[in-house]
Amino acid sequence: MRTSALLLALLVSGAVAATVEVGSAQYPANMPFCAN
Amino acid sequence: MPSTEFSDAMTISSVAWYPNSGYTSVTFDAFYINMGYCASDQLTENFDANYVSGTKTQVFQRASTYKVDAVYPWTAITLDTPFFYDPAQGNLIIEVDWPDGVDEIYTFNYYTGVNSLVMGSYGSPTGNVFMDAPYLQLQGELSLDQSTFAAIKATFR
Repeated sequence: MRTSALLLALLVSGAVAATVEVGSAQYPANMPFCAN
Repeated sequence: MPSTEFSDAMTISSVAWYPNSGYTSVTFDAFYINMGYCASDQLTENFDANYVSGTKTQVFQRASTYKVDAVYPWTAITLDTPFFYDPAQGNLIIEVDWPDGVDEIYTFNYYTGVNSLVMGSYGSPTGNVFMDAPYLQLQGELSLDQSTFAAIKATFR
């Protein structure tokens, strides 16, 4: 399997370390951790 | 949300997916992650054509068996090679490739309203386009030389 995601991002950051969360938990999907 | 929402460039060191409940692990025959820039706000069916030429970079590679254990709420993969992302240069593509494996961990997606996901067979140059994307968490470090301290503080809102 091969997937690409175009990320459109929201930035929530600390002073140096940064955490960016993109999207929300709307529905389960079989990628990228469905092995076959 | 456009890449202009990034207030600063950052060096991405890990990517995490948000797993659905009830899964324990997945094992791949091999597993690769590429990152790069996309000039458009939407993807086309041709994987490599979506990249700004010369920006596709392999940031994680496991050429043999690779097991991922489900971690809640975020299942993270630490990159072998951190990726410096400057939102001024375009949107960010994350490409995940694997040939085969066993088991699965379903993770959450969200509806984007634009062509933001391509999925196809391993090794295929093209795939099908979807209007959703994985719910992701990226971690890394901000590029401090491109921001004032006041600007960084403002991102706490």
